Formats: sequence, structure tokens, C-alpha cells
Amino acid sequence: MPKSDDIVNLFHQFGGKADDYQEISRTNTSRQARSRWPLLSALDPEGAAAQVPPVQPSESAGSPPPVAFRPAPVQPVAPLADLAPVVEPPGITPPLGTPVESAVDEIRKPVPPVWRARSAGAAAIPPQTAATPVPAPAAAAAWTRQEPAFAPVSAPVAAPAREPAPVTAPAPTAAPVSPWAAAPSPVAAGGSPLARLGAAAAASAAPAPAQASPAAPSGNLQEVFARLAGQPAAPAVAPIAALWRRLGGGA
Amino acid sequence: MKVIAVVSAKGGVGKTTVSANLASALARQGRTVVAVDLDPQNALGLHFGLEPRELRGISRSTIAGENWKGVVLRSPAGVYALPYGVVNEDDRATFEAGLDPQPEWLLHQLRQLGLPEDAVVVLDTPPGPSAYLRQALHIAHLAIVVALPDAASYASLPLMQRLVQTYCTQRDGFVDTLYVVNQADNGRQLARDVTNVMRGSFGERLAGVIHQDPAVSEALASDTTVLDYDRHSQATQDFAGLADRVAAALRLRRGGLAA
Repeated sequence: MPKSDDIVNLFHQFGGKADDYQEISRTNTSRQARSRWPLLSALDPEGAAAQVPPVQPSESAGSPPPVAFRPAPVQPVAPLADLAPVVEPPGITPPLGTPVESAVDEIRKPVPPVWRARSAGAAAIPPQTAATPVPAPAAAAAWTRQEPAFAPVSAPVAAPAREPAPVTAPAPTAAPVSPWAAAPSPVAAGGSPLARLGAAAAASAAPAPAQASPAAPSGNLQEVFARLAGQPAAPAVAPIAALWRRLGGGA
Repeated sequence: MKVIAVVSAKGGVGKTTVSANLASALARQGRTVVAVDLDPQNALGLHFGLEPRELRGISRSTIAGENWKGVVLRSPAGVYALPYGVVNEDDRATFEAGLDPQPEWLLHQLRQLGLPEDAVVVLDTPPGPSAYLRQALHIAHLAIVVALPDAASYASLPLMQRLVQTYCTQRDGFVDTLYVVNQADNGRQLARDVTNVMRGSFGERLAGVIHQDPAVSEALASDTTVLDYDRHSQATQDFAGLADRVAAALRLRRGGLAA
């Protein structure tokens, strides 16, 4: 994804390479989103695209393990009678019956974190992946998934009470708060985040409105850019404030 | 052994989801249920916790001349699953080329598993006509046609009906064809209308309406079926009802050991 012009301009202004800039927020959001769902954690699209080895005769070493097929335990499905009735929208009469939505605070049955035991007595064979040649007998549960690489942030698989539909939450909710996250810009609302920083710096340099950040982020920002450029932090604050004013004013 | 073929002429209707959740619902009634993935997409096992990087499956076992017992996965809920596996294109072509000349291939492989007499086998098939579909319909006691409540799915039904007519209807042992509407949204006029049209066309053969429910996709993302993920969800109720209907059609007995 091409870097923002603001980012490039900043690096031009203070020196350094724009390629060194990392969208930490996006990376963190992606990691946290992936960690919420075991299947997303386990999927590796790039790895899956690796070349698949051709089938070899008798590629699984040894004779097949004995499989004792047996009935699953009876687990009755909970009736819907204890759920709140659905309020029909006026004028709509679904002829096939009303879909009863789960209540928002309905407790979902927790999913055990380890699901993956093979049937008892099954011989242990390590997973044969694209990177692995003909397998040799090894530990059990080889068919099944390892624990996710990242511990779930909200731990839906471990919590007894599950929050509804975490995937529908807006993307930035789990993003770490930037140390220089500022109030909404009065100059360029919804525009570049740098515009908001400019407005905050301008606000801190002038008599401040109520929303101005009291943290005076320009000094910290200067240090960051100085570090990135490999230079000692410049002491002056006023020139930076003037720069932000220019950027925030669209100059 | 009773065999259920879950089929559709059109892709993306949710055959694999229906196959996995139906297998889970039937198993929860105390039965020995084996879900077999005949689709190169190899997605069925993901509903039962299969490691996505695992390559083994019935495709590789067949080409290698091995018994399918080596590729059986048992989920924590007690469903046995046989993944399709991952093969390169050359091997897949080789595998498929060997199917039509051996119309008894699938039956032979299932018998080699040594399943109990009252086991239920659920076959997940790829969309449309294929060598896999022909193998499945050749031995199915029950065909379940999955459709979305939209015009495209409805338009594709005649193709599947012709295929069932060709491979099933005239065969001894074939019981019936049932229909399932998947991802029904009663808030949409078209969905209600298509469902009502299908009910008018098929009557009691419309065996189930699976309502659109986020718990279904969340369950897959959690390596499980919706019945194990959210036992209170609408979709869980829908699949349980479908299992009852299927069991009645096949005269399946319920098991007796409680969890």
C-alpha cells in the first residue's frame, strides 16, 4: 500500500527513509483480529500455496491404525422455549415461522481450546505438510491443530460468557492508543491524522480550546523523528508548531 | 450403513456447512456418523478441527493404495471425518480419471472401513456434475439438495433433479430426495418467496430451512459446528430439526448413551 504523502513529506522534512515507517496500528489490529478465531490463527495462505508434493506409493509408513467406530454421546439440543420471543416488524408475516434470534446476552457454550484428539488407539502420525517428506510415526493428535500462535485477546474460546459477534466490532476498537492521539481536528476533520496533530500542536501553541490535548505532543514527536533520522532531537518547539500550522491549514 | 449425499448444482450454497452440521446433529442423537469429503476444496474437516496444513486425505490414500483408516479424524463431539486431502493438479487428475471406470470405488472404500451396520455416512460433494457426484449418487440412500433462497439456486434445481433421476431414482435402496434451504433470511421478500415456492413445489420434501445465523460462520472460525458452538442458536435448532427429518426418512434409530 503506498505510503501517505504526509508520511513521505515528514521524512523528507526531517530526513530518513519513508520505507522505515511501519503501520503499527494496522499490524496490531490484524494480529488481534486473527487471534480471536482459531481457524484464522491456523490458516497460512502463503504457506498453503506452497508446492504440494506428489503422492508416493504407500506414503504413510506402516499399516493403518485400528479405528474403533462407536456412537457419539447423546447431546440433546436445548429448546428455544427459554429465549425471548422475537418482535415481528409490522406488516411482515413470515409464513415459515419466525427465526428466533439469540438474545444479545445469551451465553454461548464455550469451545474447549483443545479439540483435536484422534480416536483412541489411532496410530500417531505427524502431519504431512508441503514442507515435510514422507512422514514417520510420531505423537498423537498429529491431525489436529496446534494451539493458536497468538493467545486470544478476548479469549472467546476460554471465557464462559461470550460477547456477541466480535467480528462485527469496528476495526479500531482494539487498536492501541497512540501516545500522540489528539482531539478531532477543527481544520481537517476526517482527513490525514497528521492534520489532527497539526491542529493539536497549533492549539497548544495558542490559547487552547477545551478539546486541545494537554500533553503537548510536538516535543515527543520531534524526538521520534529525530530518532528515525538518526539525529539528536531538535530543541525548538516553535518551528515545529509553525510547520504543523502550515500543514493543518493546507498550505 | 446408510448413505446421505449432500448435493447441489450450484456452488456457494453451503453444502459443506450443511454436511458438517447435519453430521453433527445426527451424531448428537447417539449414532455413529462418518462425514466424507469428496470435494477437492477440502473444507469439511475444518468444521471438525482438522489442521489446515494437513495434506492427508482420501485422495492421497487412494492414489497411494492405502486404506482410508489412516485418514480418519474423530472430533471431540464424536463425529468421524475423512478429509479429501491436498493433492497437486497432476495427482488430482489421476485420481479423478480413475473414478468413472470404477463405479463401485466409493462403496468399496467405505466397506473397507469396517463401519458398524447402523453407521450413517454423510457425503459432501463438489457442485454440479462430477465424477465425485456420480460416485455419491451411485450409492446414496438419500439425496439432500441444498439451495439458497434466491433465484439462481432455484433455477439450478432442475439440473440436480435430472442427475438424481439418472443415478438414484431407479436404483433399489434409494429412499428419497430431500431439499434444504440454507441461509434463509425472513426479512427479505425474495428469500421468503423462493422458500414458499420451493415448499409449494416439493411439499414435505422441503426437509429443512436453515436460517441465516452468524453463529454458523463463527462456529467454523472456532473449528467446530454450530451445535457445539452455540446450542441456543437458531441454526442449531434448524439443523436438529433437519436431522430429525432425515432420521425419519431413513428410519434411523437413536442411540442411548448420554454424554
